[in-house]
Parts: sequence; structure tokens; C-alpha cells
Amino acid sequence: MNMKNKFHTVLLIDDSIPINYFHKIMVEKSDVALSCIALNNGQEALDYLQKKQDAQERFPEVIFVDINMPVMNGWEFLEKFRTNHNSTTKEVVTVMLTTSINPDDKERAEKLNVSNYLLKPLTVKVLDDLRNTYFKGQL
Amino acid sequence: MNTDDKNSVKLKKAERKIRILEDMVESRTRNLYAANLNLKKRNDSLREVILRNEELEQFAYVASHDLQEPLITIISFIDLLGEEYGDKLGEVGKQYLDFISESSSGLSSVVEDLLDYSKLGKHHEMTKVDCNELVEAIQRDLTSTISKSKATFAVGELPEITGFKTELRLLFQNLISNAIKFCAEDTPPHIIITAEKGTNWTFSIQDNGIGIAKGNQEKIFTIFQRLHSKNDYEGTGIGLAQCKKIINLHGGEIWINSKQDLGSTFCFSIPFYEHEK
Repeated sequence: MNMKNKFHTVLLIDDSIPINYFHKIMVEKSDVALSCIALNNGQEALDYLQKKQDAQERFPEVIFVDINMPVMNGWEFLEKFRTNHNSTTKEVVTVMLTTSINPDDKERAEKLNVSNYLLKPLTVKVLDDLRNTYFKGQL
Repeated sequence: MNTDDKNSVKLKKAERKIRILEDMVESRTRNLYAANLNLKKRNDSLREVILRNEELEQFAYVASHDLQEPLITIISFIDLLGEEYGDKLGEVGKQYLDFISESSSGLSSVVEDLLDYSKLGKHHEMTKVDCNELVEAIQRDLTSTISKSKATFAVGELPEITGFKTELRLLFQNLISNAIKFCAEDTPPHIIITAEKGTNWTFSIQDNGIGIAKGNQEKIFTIFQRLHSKNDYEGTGIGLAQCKKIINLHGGEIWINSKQDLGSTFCFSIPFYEHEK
């Protein structure tokens, strides 16, 4: 049995179906979470999180969000997330994902207290490092 | 001459003066009108250039993201395909995948470089830059490359200039990296960096490397122009194009003195900032 620490749930938010698919495979390969939810836009993610709150179920420990998405981009999602769920947001690790490192974006992410700003695609190694950094021992 | 005649003469002189003045005013008015038209034309051109620039910036950003995302998808799944189905594909199949993977990575590098190139100079703040400190920082960054190539340096006294710090760093870094990269086979690179004060600052970065034939000395500053195959020297060929753009940004010039197999000296000038003159 794998005795490594695992998050309960991680949430992927990306408008690209193949990238979500790929990231889900990476999450499985790295074995960092029991469950991995993939959603395609910020609104779907907010609805999902609201449902969790209403049912008093736990939030995902890690949320990976793409910056560039139509309708509601990563920044907008984060702002709404903070507004709607202020008390819980501090415990959630948020990771912004991008195709290209932009120093302005990086600064903006740091100001918003985003936990991490990373290049796509996620790899097993990156997920491992995140687990080692952020796992808080609550399974 | 009686008083009437005297007055008549005076009047005629006055009238003549008035006519001359009127002509002058008319001529000046015409000149002003023409100058005004000219300024309006320049203003329109300038506005167009500004609009084009803004378009280009948007274009570069969007293009880069919209190009990179599908590329990342391709590269990721090609890698996965190779990992998970490599045995079923056999050697030939794996070779096909390698070609696809390499090409996609190459494309991704080009897109990334294009984006960086388009962003040069966006930080429009000029600051004081100590060039000696700059070179030292670059040498620290390149520590492992320098020790691998056994490169040595002779750095003269370099001035403190006013310019765009990030871009100037890239300028020096590209030229120094090139001097190390394009060294002769059995000779460790030796790089001499000096500066001269004339009507402007002229910097020289001299190496003892493979040199550049006269016929190629113009085109090396063109974006993505490479003189050697990717197998011999890595890189997309954007380094010198970046240098040229950065020098243009500062209002200077960049040129090269070189002979094939006898090393190259890259020179660039940076004009004095107002208070340095």
C-alpha cells in the first residue's frame, strides 16, 4: 500500500479539455490525491465550491487554475472565490497555471497571495514538490 | 520742395514700407501654414505608429498564448504516447515521435523568443546602470558555463550609464554568451571587454573564437538567422537580433569587426544621457 501523504481532493480548472485530461493523468501518476475533479471554466468551479460549502463538505486542498480562460479568467475566479468563501480560502492552496511566464502576471499573483505561479504542463515532479510543501496531514 | 511735396514723398515711403511689411507678413503666414500642415501630417503618422505598436503588442501576447497552448498539448501527449505505447510502436514509431517532439519543442522555443523579443523595452524606465557590476552579475550567472568552457575574462573600467537595466543586461549577456559559445575547438575562450568615451560611449566585446566571414556580418543581426546548424551550436538565432533592438532602443549603433577563424569584436555605442554630456 502506498504510504505517501495524499490530498483528499484537488481541483483542476482549465478550458482546454486535453490539458485537463493530461493533468488528471499526472495527478494519478504522482499519486498526490485521492480524488481529482476537472472543470472547464471559473463559473463551473464556483458552483462546485458553493455546493461543497452548502453541503458542509470539505473543499479541495489544492486548486489549479488556468489564467487565460474565456468568460471568466483565472484572476476573476480567484477574486470571486475569495469573496464568496472568505473564511475557507486561506486553507486552500491555489496554483495559477500559465503557458508563458509573464513578470507582470507573476507580480499580480504574488499580490493576491496565490500560493504558486507555474508553467503548464504539470508534471509528476511538480506535483510531488507541491505535496511535500503543502500537505498538512489531514486525511 | 514745399511742405506738400515733402509730405507726399514721406507718404509714398511709408506706403512702400507698409507694402513690404505686408509682403513679409504674407510670406511668413504661408510658411507657418505649411509648417502647420507638416506637423499635422507628422502627428497623424505618429498616432498611426502608436496604434500599430499597441496592436503588435496585443498580437504578440495573444499569438504567443494561443500558439503555446496547443503546442504544450502536442508535446505532452507525444511524450505520454512514447512512454505508454513505446513498445507497441517499435523503433521506427518511436523515431517518428521523436521528430514530432523535437519539432514541437523547437516551435515552442521560437514562439517564446518572439514574445520576449516583442516585449523588449516595455519597461520604459531609464535608470543608472553600473556596467562593471552588470558584467560581474552576468559572470556569476554563467558560472557553470564559464568553468566548463574554461573561459577567461579581461574586463576594463566600464562606465556607469543611463539606460534600460533589464535590456542592457540582456545585451551584455547575449554577447558574452556568444563569445563563450562560439569558441575555437582547442582554444578556451578569452573575452576582453572595454569601453571608450568619445562623442558617446563605445563598448567592445572581443573574443578569440571562430569569427564571422565578411559576407555574413550583416545578416547575423536578423531575427532567427543562424549561421550554423542546430547540431553544431544550439539556439534559435535571436540573440543578436535582441542586441540590435536593444541598441536601437538606446539610440546607439552596433557593429562587428571580425575575420573567419580569427575571433570577433562586437562593438556598440550608447549615446550620453542629457546630464552626462
